[in-house]
Amino acid sequence: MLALSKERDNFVPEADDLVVELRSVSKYYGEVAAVSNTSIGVRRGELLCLLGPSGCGKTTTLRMVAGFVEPTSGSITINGVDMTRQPPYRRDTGMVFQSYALFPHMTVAQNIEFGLENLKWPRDERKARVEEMLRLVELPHLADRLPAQLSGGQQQRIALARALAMRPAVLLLDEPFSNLDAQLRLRMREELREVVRSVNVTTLFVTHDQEEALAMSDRIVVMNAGQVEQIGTPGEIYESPETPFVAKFIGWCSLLKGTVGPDGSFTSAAGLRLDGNWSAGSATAVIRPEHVRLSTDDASGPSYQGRVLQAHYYGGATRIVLDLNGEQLTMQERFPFWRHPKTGDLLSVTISTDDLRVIPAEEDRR
Amino acid sequence: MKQSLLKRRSLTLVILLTPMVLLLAGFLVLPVLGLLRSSFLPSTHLLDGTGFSLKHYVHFFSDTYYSSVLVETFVDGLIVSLVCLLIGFPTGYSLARLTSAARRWRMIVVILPLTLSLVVVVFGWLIILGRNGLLNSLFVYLGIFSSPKTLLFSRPAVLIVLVQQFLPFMILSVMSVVTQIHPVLEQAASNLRANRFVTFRKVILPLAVPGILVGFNIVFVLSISAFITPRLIGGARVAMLGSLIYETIMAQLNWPFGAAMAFVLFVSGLAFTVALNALVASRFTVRG
Repeated sequence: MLALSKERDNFVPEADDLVVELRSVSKYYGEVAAVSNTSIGVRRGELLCLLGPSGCGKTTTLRMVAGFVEPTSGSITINGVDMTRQPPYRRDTGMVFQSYALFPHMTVAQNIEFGLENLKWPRDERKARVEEMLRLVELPHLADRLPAQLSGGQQQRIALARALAMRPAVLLLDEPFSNLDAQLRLRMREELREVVRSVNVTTLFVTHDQEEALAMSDRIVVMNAGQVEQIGTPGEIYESPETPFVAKFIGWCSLLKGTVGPDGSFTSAAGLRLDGNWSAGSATAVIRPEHVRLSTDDASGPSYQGRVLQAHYYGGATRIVLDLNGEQLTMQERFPFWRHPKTGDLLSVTISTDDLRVIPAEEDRR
Repeated sequence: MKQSLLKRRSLTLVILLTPMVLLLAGFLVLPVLGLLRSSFLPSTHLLDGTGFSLKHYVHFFSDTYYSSVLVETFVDGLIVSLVCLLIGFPTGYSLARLTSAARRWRMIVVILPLTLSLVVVVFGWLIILGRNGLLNSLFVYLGIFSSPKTLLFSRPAVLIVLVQQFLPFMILSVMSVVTQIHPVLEQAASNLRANRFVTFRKVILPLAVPGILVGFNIVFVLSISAFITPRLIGGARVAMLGSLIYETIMAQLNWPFGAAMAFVLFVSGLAFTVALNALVASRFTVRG
């Protein structure tokens, strides 16, 4: 098992080996587009995350893959077979619902066996598979319990076992952690990733929690207002967002609108100037808290005077909103409590421009 | 402290229950006990006389006419309950799956017949089923019948009218239990490769059993004790125990024998529903 997951860490999904493919899929409710003209491919073996604020169409997209929602236009294939108009029970998917949706009148074992019965597995193979699944989620002692007798975390693991028992082509997870408390959520996140990796199942996963998406996914699809903003690895999404929306949604940042001059330097609308080598034109600079540092004597680059607008003490760090020549920037720094900055204080800061992202306006589709 | 709280609580309980208990005891339990006593009187007339005798019960069970009426009554009750279930389940299920706004008007349609007096409903059916009634006129006009036929005074007519009267109880109890079954369970079943039929058989039906049982019990008990409908729609040709009891007490004034029949109906009806419930419960309850 350990060797397997080690191997799995170096696993790179093939870009053209798609398990699920959505081609220009749209879903209209009357005049309103829940999802419009969306194309997404889920590569074999990867954990792909649909991330976005509520109402962005991520859940509708997942439900279209499962077959609960019929797309208005476009096509959905699973393992190369067109499934666009097929009912859910003809699709090779396994879903873990937000509310788990365990059958209350069946025992844990009967719940897991349900899909295998419908797939007409022979009885002894079904029993063996149920045991195997219970061992996988480490709950073999609960086989004869009813769902009502389980804790939230246990119910979720059974729901996962039930979905995986059928060996689906793709595992679908709909906000699987939203019903758990914060501590359990972190633990279940680790566990789920471990289980999914160990059985090597292609996974499509919906969440609105960007931290969850960054920690769990091989690739992330950031969605907004029914459309795909960007598809990329967690690193790509965080380090080089293609749109201001992605920058704003993933991690904390300040967005400065401005222009890049012929010399490659960026000047914000309020006149804040950042030296660099960006391509000329109007653009948006993405400044994350880690780009802004207190000036030290050996600092390179220009330093700026900023007035403290807000300062929030979080113990390990202080989050400060600074006014820099009329632009608001957020920075995060460790201050001992006894010299904690107050509103109105002046701070001298530098802005590191090495890995700072400036999004040209033509890339900004909105 | 805890003791006194408990005492206060039980006192409250007693105060809250007293009016109901008095009402039931005074106007239901006592008269029924009186009826039970009178069923053991040796007299065959009014509630006079004293003494103790089993002759009415012996008479009931030794004369095959009465036992056949009892069996017929039970068979009729079962048919009415089953037909109500077959019609009422789809209706109740679809009502449960509507939004509450969409449900409102449809609910009124379901409940409205219950607000009418039973006698009014039965006379309505007489107009429809009579010799010169709506159905006969229509069938003769369409050429299906050459001359008007007797639709009333037959067992099917009685069963149809009973189904119409008691259907709302089945619809309402199925609806209330299906609203407790979350639609996401149907989606989960569908995701687990169950088609609609399997989903119905393995998920919806077992979870709806409590509501089905409640509806079945209500319709069954109301059907076997019906007496207005069998008398007016069935006439002399269709014998159900309810109308026979009515006849015996009101026309022949034979209170003791009527009381004995009432108790036979009461005890056998109760035994039947208890047995049915136990059977279904053991079949559909999972070992936890």
